[in-house]
Amino acid sequence: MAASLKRSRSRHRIAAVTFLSNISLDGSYKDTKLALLPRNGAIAKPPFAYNDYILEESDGNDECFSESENVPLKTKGHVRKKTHKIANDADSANSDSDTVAPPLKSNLDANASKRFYRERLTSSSDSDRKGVAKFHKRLPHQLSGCGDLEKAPQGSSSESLEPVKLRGSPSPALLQEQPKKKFRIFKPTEHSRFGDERIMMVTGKRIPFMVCSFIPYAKSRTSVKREERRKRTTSGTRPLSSIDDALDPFDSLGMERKLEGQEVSYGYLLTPSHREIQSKRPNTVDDHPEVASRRPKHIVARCLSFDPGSQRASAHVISHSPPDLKEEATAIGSLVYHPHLLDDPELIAGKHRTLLTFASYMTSVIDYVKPSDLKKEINDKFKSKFPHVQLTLSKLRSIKREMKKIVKHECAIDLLTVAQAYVYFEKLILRGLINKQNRKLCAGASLILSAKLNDVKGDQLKLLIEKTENTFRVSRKELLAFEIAVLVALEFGLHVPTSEVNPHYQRLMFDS
Amino acid sequence: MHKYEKLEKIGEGTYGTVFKAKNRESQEIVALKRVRLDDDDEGVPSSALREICLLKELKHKNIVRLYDVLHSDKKLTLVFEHCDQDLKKYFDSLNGDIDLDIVKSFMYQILRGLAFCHCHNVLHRDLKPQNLLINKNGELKLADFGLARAFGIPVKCYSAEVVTLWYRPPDVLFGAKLYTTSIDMWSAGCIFAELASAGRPLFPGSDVDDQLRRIFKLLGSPTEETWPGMSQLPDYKAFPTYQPNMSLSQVVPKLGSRGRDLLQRLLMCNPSGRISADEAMQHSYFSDLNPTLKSDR
Repeated sequence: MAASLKRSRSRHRIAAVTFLSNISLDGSYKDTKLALLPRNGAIAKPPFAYNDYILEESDGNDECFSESENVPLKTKGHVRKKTHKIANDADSANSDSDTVAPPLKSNLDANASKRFYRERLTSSSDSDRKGVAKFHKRLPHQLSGCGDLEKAPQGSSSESLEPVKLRGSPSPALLQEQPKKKFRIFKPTEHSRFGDERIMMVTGKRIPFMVCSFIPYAKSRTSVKREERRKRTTSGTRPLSSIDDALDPFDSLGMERKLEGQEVSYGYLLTPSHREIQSKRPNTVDDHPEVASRRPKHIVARCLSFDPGSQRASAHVISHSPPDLKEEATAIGSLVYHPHLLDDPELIAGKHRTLLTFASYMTSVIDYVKPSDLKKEINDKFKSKFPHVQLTLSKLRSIKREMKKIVKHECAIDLLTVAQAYVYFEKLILRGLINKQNRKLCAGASLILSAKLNDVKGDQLKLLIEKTENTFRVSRKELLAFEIAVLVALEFGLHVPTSEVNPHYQRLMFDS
Repeated sequence: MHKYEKLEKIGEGTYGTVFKAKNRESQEIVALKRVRLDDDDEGVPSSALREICLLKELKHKNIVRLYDVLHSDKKLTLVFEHCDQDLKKYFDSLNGDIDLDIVKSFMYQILRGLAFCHCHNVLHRDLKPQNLLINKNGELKLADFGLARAFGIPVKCYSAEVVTLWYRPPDVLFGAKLYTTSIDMWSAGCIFAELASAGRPLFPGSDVDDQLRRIFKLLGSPTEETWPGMSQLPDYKAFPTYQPNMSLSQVVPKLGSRGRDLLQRLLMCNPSGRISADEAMQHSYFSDLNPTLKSDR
């Protein structure tokens, strides 16, 4: 079992080594090791040419190879060299001792990496030219060494490469002998870790001569990381310079773009939104013909149903049919916003829960689940519930947190303002009007509208607008342009019933 | 501004100018309130916002109707129903004499409009004769909702800078930040007395202290017994204990005993003791009200 595991491991390594060593660095392919992989364990018997490289390298500029990742490689190299030269080279023996004492056991102090930089700068300059040429050759093996280290962090990875020879390495007495070093070994410290980052080595004159990347060996881990990165929808922090091609707020919220100097009548929105559906008042104010004809394009009024299908249709298709007042009236009547509809407080645990029902009690077992998986699952659930919503639940929650933050930590305004702003914002979302481009502007505008109706005025209001600009990274001009657009998109319905605000408010109070 | 022909300037509102205008098609007379929108300012003025959003929900014959909102680049125009005059101007035309039936009718309509606001969770917060519009048919409408706000969730974030001084209740004068419909009921009481005395303001104070002094001199200083929690109000300060030296019958001699009783219930210093709009409409003072007005909803 263990043997087969080892074999498959080494197969992996060989594959990696082959891959990496066959990348020609200078394009000549002379530096690649195509012959390296005849069969399993081939690396243990490297061709002569291989050793030659190593021999060369041992002079002069090894201190440049100071990253701990390089150690196994050097171990290989010098052990091999020793077997050829029978250890009459004191320097190489010594360097062996350094390398064999593995990076993790080595007694280098925490400042090692700092010292490395200093010493490298002073000592490597004389061998710069040589170094450049040689490192080209070494790089592939170095990388394979990294892989080893990652897999077997105890520094024993070289065992699988050359177990016998390594054990025949110099005695501990020899290890202590010469403090003069040709190699520098650097452990990651608290402050500097060699994660999956790129390490660049420079000469004394700060001319870069080597770059090496750390490639994590564990396949599964990298895939998870990549997935996480992909999943995260980057927040739309648009540079402020993009103001010039700013969104048209009305266009963005599904309404007719306003033309310069045009006057738009919103009298048809002035019907009471709650409680009683009054008989449709004939529009006493005569509209412009063009204004009247534009009316059907105001799709907001017609996408109030929570049937995902119908909502999607109404949200994205701009109807050119004449306005159907009856339809509009019934839509208003059927508007049942509920504070927990979108941001369901129950939607925090996924299906990773087993409910056990016993005779006298119930209990649930919640498995540990990776936060990223849980987030994905919850967002998927949300997506299937509200297919027309162009926002993930986690993004909605993060925007709501930001809205709260603006008010709570910075403006000393009551949380009621936040709760009411949540209602506005969520209503816009339910109408399918919020997208990546306008979400921050709409959230900010909701907050400002809510504040204005909650007696926030004067300096307090100024501060709020400022903080909103800063937190959401939007310009005041855009924010205030969206204020009116949001107001119209909400059909002036800012006076919302207590029952719509209170659950948000209670939740905010509970959380704080 | 093609739909409306501007006729004359009516006045300056809390924001922007108010014009009388005529709808070119229907010939209907309307009132236009123009609100300038400055980009680098604070956006839509909150008073305009309140009027639009609250009046949208408040369709009632005793509340001024908002017909339309016109939006163009730099301004917002609110189109209101036009009334012939406000109560203040009406008082000026009276020469100190008023028909008591009109007092009753107006008072009833004020209460009915208020009751509608209050049942829709709206506080007017700026009731005064200038904000009560009347037309030729003797209809009265509450107007200017620029200071109005929703209530419901009790939070201590309400502004204490509300209601014109003369019509401001003692709790708000003491800096109360949590108030409810009672704030409008006090104002209604002040207007009731003003109606009954044909336009003489009941408490024309010059500042907050003078205002409170005038109130307490007429009604007697409240105590911690009659008004528990009074001394905890933010701006509370002790006043000399005035005994009610003048009875209401001296202030509003024309009002009968029922009317005085209603006035008394409206002018309670302790806000929790103030009568509500709905209760006030049931008061015996209105029992002999013109039934057509009463049934007219």
